[in-house]
Amino acid sequence: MSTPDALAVPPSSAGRQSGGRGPGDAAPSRPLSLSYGAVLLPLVVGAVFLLIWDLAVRLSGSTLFPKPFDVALGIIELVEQGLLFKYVVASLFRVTWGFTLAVLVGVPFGLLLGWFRRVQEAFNPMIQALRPISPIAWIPLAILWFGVSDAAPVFLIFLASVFPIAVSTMAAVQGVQMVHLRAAQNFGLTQFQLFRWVIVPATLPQIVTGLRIALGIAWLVVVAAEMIAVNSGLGYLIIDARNAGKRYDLVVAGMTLIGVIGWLLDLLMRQVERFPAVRWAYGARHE
Amino acid sequence: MRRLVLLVVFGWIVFVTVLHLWLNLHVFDAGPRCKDKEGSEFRVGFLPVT
Amino acid sequence: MFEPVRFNGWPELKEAFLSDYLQAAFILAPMAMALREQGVPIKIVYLGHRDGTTMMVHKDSYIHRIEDLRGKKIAIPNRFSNQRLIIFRAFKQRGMRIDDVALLEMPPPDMPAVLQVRAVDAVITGEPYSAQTEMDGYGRILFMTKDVWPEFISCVLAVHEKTIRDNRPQVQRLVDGIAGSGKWLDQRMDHRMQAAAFVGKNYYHQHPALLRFVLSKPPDRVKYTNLRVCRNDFEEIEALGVESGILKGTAPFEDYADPSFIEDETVIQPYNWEYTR
Repeated sequence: MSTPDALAVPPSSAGRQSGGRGPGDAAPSRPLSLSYGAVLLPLVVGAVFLLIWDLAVRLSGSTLFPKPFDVALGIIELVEQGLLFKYVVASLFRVTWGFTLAVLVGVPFGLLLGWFRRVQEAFNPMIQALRPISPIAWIPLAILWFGVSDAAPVFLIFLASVFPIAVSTMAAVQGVQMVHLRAAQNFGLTQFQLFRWVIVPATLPQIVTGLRIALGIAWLVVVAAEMIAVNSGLGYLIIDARNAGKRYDLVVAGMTLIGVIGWLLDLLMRQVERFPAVRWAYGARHE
Repeated sequence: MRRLVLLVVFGWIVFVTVLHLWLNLHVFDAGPRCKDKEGSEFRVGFLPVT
Repeated sequence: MFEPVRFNGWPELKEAFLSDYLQAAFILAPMAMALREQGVPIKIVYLGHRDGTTMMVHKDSYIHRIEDLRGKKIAIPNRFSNQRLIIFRAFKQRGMRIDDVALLEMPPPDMPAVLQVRAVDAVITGEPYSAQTEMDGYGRILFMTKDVWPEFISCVLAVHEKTIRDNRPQVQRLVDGIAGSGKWLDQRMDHRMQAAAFVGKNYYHQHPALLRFVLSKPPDRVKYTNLRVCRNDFEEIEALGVESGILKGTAPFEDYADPSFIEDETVIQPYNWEYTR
């Protein structure tokens, strides 16, 4: 299916190796170097990074900054204390609910914004004014309203995610090609049918991209929110480690875990992007 | 396909919620609770500093 | 019965108290007084401890007397703190002014690191963060509060007025418990050592060795008796607060304090404390 330019969205990363194969295609023989590349290249980059990190700490003579091995030991210590799993669950719980609420509110709202000009005129200035306010700035209010509970970070994540989702959904709707809409009208579709069979499929790729970005933001915000507003979670782990004295190895261990989970979440979203209903809009560069 | 996605999403939400309630909010703990006879909470905030 | 909730910064604790999430809090004394002036129905019912604050400088610095602080940067926990007021008081006694120095507000846990890298010239905060700089070898004591402002008050136990109204027996139990524990801690050094081990691990998440150092070297670095709320102490704090610009002086002692929970310190018995989990 050819991809109209207006619907093309930024292609996902070079990490996707099997793009382009539909369910009915015969499997093309893949050169061995491709699968090596997927695994070997990042490993090499990672190893070089660790090496530079280790050397830099040794050369600087710092007693505070941990080396990669110290961080690994720190992670093991966290696992042994039994805190790690609990805190990961807490952070994931808050992201799940905040993000889900943001999707449930943001996607319909974005569709409305994109489809009805009046709605956009009415709400867009307000959205653009609220959007740049960092969720971090909302923390004092969140604590006042919700106390020290899960509701505060969930609220902050919702705030951080709902705007990117609504705006990218709105842009997706506005980007639907006139030719498709005219064709649909010629077929005599009702508003509802138009929505269900033309708008939604056409906008899905861009909406999913918006979701991926919003999920990244959500994960970022949950950590920041947990540093202040609650008593559990990965952000709290970092603050707690820092308050426990000179445990910067635990601090960096926490940071590493946050990074790893963020990466996994991103991988998850990329899998969603590979569904046929979504994948068609991405550039053919990676086939 | 859509059904599967929705099922997975819903399943994850339930799973992580139950896990969180169990591990962090101790909703399923049997045994004595540190609550008043009247059941009211009394939280005392502090910083670990003199 | 009572659930202790640990915070990492003063603003978060203050907000949790304002939102009624906390029924009581160990809060900075001037902060409680300032909140009362702003109309928050807060009542100071007991003290947390006496002394327990130290001003530390980097061991390689040329600051050996308080006068040497002129023109330097000092980290304080919060503008509404007695740490700021003790600087003001010490300076007043030496003919200096508070704006002879630059004051930075900083969460106490951050202070050891900034002193070590010499991003500030001095830090004044409660224990164990001051002691940590000493134990780790880069900090030197400039002065202890007991040498400049005897019977120094830092944190106080404050309660919502409506908690006192609706649940006075609970508040009384809390104050009695704290009073009894304080007597127990000051009774014998090995009691202090026991507490260091238990509290460090389960409540503070700080190293017990550090807490043992704080509680013993010297033994009166921090004291846990004589914690009654006294008018003189607080009116002195209020006067300094007004003079240095952080308080307005609009709230009288009767408004922000309620000393009725412990009338007579001498009848308090040391609480025979057992480990409970």
